[in-house]
Amino acid sequence: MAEPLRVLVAEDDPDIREVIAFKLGRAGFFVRAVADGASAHHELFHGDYAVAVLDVMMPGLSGLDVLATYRESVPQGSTKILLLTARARDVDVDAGFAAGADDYVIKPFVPGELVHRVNALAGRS
Amino acid sequence: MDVVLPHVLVQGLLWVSLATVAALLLTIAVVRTTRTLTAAMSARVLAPLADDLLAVSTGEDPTGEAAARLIDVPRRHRATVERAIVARLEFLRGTTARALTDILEAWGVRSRWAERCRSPWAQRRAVAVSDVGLLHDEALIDVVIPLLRDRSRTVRNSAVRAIGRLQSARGAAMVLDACATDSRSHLPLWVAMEGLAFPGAEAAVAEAIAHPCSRVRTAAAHAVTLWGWTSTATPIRHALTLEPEADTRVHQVRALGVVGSGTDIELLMEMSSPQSPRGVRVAAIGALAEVCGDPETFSTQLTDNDAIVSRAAARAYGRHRSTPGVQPTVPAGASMAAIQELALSRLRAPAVRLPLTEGGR
Amino acid sequence: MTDVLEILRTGVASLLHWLAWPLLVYFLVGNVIQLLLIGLATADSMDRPARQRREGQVRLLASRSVPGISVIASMFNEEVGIVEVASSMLALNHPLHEVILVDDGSKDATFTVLAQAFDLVEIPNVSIEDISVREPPISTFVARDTAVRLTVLRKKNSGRADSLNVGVNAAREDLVLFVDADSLLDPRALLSVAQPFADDERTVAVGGVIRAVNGCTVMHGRVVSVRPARTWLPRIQGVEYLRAFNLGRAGWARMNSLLLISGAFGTFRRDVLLEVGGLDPSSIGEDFELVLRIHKRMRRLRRPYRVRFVTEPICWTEVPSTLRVLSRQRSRWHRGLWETLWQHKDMLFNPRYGRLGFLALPHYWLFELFAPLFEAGGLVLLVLGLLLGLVNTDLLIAFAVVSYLLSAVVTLFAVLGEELITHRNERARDVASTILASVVEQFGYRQITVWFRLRGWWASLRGTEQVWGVMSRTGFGGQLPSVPPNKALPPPPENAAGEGSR
Repeated sequence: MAEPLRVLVAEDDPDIREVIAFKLGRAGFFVRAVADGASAHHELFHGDYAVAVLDVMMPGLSGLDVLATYRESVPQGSTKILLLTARARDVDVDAGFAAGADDYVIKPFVPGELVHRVNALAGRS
Repeated sequence: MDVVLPHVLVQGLLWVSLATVAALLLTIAVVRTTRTLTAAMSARVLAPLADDLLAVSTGEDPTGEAAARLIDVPRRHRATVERAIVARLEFLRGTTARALTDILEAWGVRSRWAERCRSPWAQRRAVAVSDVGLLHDEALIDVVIPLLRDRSRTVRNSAVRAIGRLQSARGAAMVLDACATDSRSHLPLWVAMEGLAFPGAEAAVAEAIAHPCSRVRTAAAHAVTLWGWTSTATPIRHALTLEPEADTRVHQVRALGVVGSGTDIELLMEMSSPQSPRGVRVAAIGALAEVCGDPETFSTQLTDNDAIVSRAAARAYGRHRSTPGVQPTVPAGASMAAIQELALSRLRAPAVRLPLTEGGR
Repeated sequence: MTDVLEILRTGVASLLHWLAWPLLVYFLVGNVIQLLLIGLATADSMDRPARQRREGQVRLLASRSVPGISVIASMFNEEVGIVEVASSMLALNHPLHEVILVDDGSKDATFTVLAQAFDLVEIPNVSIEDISVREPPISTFVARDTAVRLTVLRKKNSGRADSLNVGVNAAREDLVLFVDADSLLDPRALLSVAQPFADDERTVAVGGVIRAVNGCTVMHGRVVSVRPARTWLPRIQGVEYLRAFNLGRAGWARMNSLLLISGAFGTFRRDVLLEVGGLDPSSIGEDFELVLRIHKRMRRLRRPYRVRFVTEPICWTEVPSTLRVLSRQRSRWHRGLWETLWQHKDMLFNPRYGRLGFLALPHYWLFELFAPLFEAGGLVLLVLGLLLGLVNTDLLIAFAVVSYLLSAVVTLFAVLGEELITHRNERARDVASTILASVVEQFGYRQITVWFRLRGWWASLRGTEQVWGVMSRTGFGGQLPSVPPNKALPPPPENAAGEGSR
């Protein structure tokens, strides 16, 4: 039985964080859930995550900040980044991708859909 | 020659100040502890139900047992669990959201929330109308519509949001009406957009394009720009030819850029001529770029005296000419601002669009 | 010898006789006004609790109807921190913003580090002089990757105001945000300041809270943990900013009489800036002067308008940690205050300016400008009176109460207001340290700032030329000293010494 893939979840709203962590856990991932960007930044550098789910709208270090610093400092990094955002304009989506995000999910979201996206990024069917 | 102050006054002042200091310190302490206590209390109520709540929220409740247990929660705890469910409905949609609303409906929240929408406290009304929206049932529209004219701004904004969630065409028409300037409490444009963000709003918007109040016409045109309902092309075209307000014309021109076609080129060229105000001209040039395939349309404006206009023209010109690696030619007589913008166009690669997977929106 | 003493005694006694009551009333009224402002601001902010405001920002974002913002900063010798600052400004949460950095003739590697970090390329230079400037841009650069909306303009040195005007000329969005090149912004800052404009079409300018970053943990240009400073001087200033800014300004804004928006964090409608001609490069208090001019113009044209204030903590800056720098800062501010108030004295008690002319401006004259004078005078008088045995205990207690005790009340009120509004839940330890700092503030700090302010005022009256001086920073990242024609005047605390003279 292979090591479960590791997923990082960074979300400051405790309800959202709980839902995502639980659902991904049930999907067979090992989930590390943090409440702010600074912790997410730390985890991305020291952990070995297949996918990171980052909320864009966190105070302090936002999801975009974490994404940008990760891509800058670890250009060969293999962690796929999925952004959780409330924006619904194509322009912003492009900006997220230009910064190095691999996918995005818009709030309100369907939990099953989120897992589907994470699976896709993690390379599982 | 001492300065005489009434002793009583001084003593009084001293003690009142000291008492105020003590009172403030106490209040600070009380506010902090109350916050922690209420959080702790609701945590205690929710703790045994956490797993069930998670199961229903994430669709991990195939048998419906978790939902059933939540429905059976004793009455005195329902208020707390209700808040927790509402909090989750704010960020979930789809089958899990419906499972959560089923629990609320089983408790009969409809009548209670409708009642709360008439509460004398503004904060309560605002929360109640927002909650009503989360039930996503158009039948509830009559509870929400009166609150569009509420005296509290927070309540009005929440009512608009609820209409957006309920996706009621009648509600959309009322939202547009509420943008009129004669009502003291007219809605900000961005808030109104929340109440029009669904397909069913199309008819109401199309009608509002010719509304007597300019602000409503603006709101309608702005909505068309955001959602591009093609059926609104004709009303927009017609309204634009008659529109007296320059600000409204800007929005109508932009709307025409989104839903218009080649037949609108002549009208848009007229709007971009020097007789129009700067804002309208810039919008018209942007709209022309959308409906018109020929970049030569902008060659005259590239030489315009108004730097902002010539820059907008250069942007439109550059967009059409620029394929990566190919330099757009600089027409003779183009203004410096236009030349600068063309240089920027050369740098811009066509936007990379990743295929958007289904169901993400 | 005894004759001299006797004359002195008589003199002081008669001064006390005439001035004791007026001074007492002055300090009492000053403090009461502060309380009213804070109360007004707190009540207003409680109508929309912090969580709802945040939700509002998210909704504004999702509505796809957010006004665009051009973030403009003027740079002078900022080579050490500028790349991080620019990156953090570009990464702010907003769908439609650009960053314009104006290099005001830096003599160091400021431009070089930017060019390298962002792969800047030169584009044809054009000077759109919607606002006339002294030194137009010499060259224009943008990031090669145009998705990164960064523009760098290079020009000859002519000071902060002129450079910001150059930035406004080049701005493409409807709103303009002036920041300092060393300010730190919360990622949601742009949404916060855009909200008042989106909510009300009459809004022409928005001010914001500036907090002291000394003591906070900063990562990649963002404040990730808020703590009071470790040394006393910045910690006291933190308290001062809390009392004077957040709530004092918000109170005035509630009455549409906000006169002062700090240049370190102020948002304006671009078209209004063009109308009034931008910042005045010859003014020392250029931010204050700009807002006054905007008020003047709007009222003269009888146009409905609003100047608002956002109370969320979204902008951070380093406050002076040495007396030397603090002294220069406060002198400069008071000088700017004096010169601007004098320049616009026609607004005072002028019916055309309504509440501004009859409430806000008189308040600034009496309780901001003249405050150090009354405080110093009162202190000297009291000390002399005590030495000469002219002061009884009642008088002493009365002065102590209306100055020290009442300002403690005001500060506690502000702390309470902050608790009720922001729900940030700072550690109890930090709240206690804030309260303690506000006590320490009364004994020494106030008196020192009185001296600094009087010096600045005197220098202006004597026509001495303003020396800018150097602020060497100890803060995050360790930076080179920079010459502050490009540092905005520190947000002057409201009524920093309207109370408390001893």
